[in-house]
Amino acid sequence: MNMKKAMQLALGIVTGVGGFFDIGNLATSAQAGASFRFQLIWSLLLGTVLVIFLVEMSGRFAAATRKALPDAIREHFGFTSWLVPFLVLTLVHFLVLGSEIGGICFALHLVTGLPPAVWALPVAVLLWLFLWRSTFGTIENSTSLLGLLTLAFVVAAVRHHPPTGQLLAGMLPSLPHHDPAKYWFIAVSILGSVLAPYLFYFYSSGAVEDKWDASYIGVNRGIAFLGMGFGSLIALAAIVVAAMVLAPRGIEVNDYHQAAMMLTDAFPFWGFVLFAAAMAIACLGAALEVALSMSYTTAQTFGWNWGEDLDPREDARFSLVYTGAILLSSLLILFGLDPLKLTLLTMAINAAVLPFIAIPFLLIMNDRKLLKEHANGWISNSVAAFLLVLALVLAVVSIPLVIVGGS
Amino acid sequence: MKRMDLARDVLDKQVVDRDGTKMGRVDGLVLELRGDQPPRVDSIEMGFVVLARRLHPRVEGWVERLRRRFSVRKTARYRVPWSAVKDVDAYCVQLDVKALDTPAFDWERWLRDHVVAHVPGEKEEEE
Amino acid sequence: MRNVNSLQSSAARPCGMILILMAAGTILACQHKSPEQELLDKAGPAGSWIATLQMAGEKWGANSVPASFVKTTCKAAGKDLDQVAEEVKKSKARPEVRDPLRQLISQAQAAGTSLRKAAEANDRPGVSQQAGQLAALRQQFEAWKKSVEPP
Repeated sequence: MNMKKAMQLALGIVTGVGGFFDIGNLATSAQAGASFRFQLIWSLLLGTVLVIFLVEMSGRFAAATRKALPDAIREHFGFTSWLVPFLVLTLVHFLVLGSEIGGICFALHLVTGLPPAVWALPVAVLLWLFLWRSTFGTIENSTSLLGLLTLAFVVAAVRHHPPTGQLLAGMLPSLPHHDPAKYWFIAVSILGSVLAPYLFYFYSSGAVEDKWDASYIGVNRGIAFLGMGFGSLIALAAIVVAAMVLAPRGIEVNDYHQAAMMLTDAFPFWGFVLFAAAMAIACLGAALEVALSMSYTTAQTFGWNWGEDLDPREDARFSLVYTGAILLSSLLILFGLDPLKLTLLTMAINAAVLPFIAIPFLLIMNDRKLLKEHANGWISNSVAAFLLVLALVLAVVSIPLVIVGGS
Repeated sequence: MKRMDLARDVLDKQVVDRDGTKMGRVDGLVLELRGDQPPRVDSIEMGFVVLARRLHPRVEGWVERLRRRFSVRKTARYRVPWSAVKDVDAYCVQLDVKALDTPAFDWERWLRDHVVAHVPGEKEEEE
Repeated sequence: MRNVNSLQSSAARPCGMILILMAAGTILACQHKSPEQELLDKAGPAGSWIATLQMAGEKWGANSVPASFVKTTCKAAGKDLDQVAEEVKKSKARPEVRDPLRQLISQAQAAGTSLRKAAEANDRPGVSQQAGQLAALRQQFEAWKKSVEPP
């Protein structure tokens, strides 16, 4: 492996760590730990294994074909087949972007005491300016380095010395002792937050932006495994901290205020600011990704000129898609929607729409004419088959679970 | 002789101009039927109205009405004769035109001149 | 001349099936519970908020959180507690189950307001007193829950 590939791998892992953990992971981890201590760790692990495979497939696809997924899926399945997944993806992007903006606004609310709605427009302008002015590389590197701040959760989790036996027991699925509706609702939300549909579509566009070719297939495997693995470690740490700090006090997380003191037991002085900073940074990185992802998907669907490294004058439509997306989704927060409720609803919808998003993706991974020797093998396809069954189950149960277990 | 699947590999493919600028997708294909001879690809079509027709004639009607009311595009369908196709490879259909001079870039041009041009700030230099 | 743009491979789209099953799931999920059981579910957030307010007070005393956080937490708690109070009012549960909860919640609302005022006034003994009061309420709430929960 040459120097450049080694750098790519290191950078990819950092991006994975920084980019994986977002508002959805924070919200669902805090809820899981606070209400069910270590009992829902299995859901996070299951999601992590699946997302490692999906991200590996998406990167492999981009490296082998030099095409991003929306591009290739429209080309080979046709516009009418791609339309429904595309519309679903657009809806999900919009809601996730709103949730991430809500997270940044809430973090600012924690530090300043001003209501989150006040911050909606300033945050939208900041995000937009960042995307309008910088290149893909700058965004990727700066947000992922800052994203390492979320490692504070891991340090805190270690400081709390969680009971190893219970932690290990949580890795196996078990039935809840109380509130079964809430238990399954959180389990589904965790899966929805880890298997965020935009993630693997975005990852393939990113690989094309980084000009990957078939020689990156090995690097891609490393990034998928280590990046997503470490990323999920932070989510695990957040579950542990919530289980050690909030659960014993009887605090359940129905509002972000109830999660905000999570780190103050481990870091009495810095904990509160660390939480706000980690929340803001994690959401900022994710918001930039999601907004870009929306532009990629739309531009590729209609064949417009695209690329975050181009000047907005060269891809006006691409640039105006993220501009509009940021503005519209910040309205959700501006009009006073509760950021946590929006996040949880979004995670449930993520889980519910998984089949629409995953089916075309998994089909195209088996297109031997396109991928040749890089098409899915039997291991990837077994995981894919399992994912499809799970996705269909999630599609059926997630919306009813919001109604019975959501509040 | 190169063989291609029209529906799988040409329809919906990325279209680029002679400089490689992405200018749309092959939204529709027009065949010419020539008596006893095999049909011949006459032209490719681009535009939202063409896409809408693929969904349903009624959707085509709605999109056409919207276009007349709001669109900056003068022609509903941008039809390019197959003779203008320079090359078809695994990635794209290359046309021997300049994207900015075609109806496919009407919106792009309009947005650049009326929106993007009024926004202060330029992209940072690539390091 | 004829158009052939309707020619295309179609990927499987089991949308209709999923929608039907979603609807069926929703109907199944809405089962009936006894009024006491319902009240217990509705009261859950109140206990969690009382604990949150107690923690916020204690953490403010330890200089771990700013006064503005205590203030906004008290406001958020107040809003949710008001909602629970409304639910309790509407509940058809037996009075011997409902009334103690009603009293508990109004005490918690009062403690939240006092906590906010004390933190705003930088009144350390006041905050610690309210945190103590909230700790006591929390225990009463747990006891109430135990008395309602089926053994």
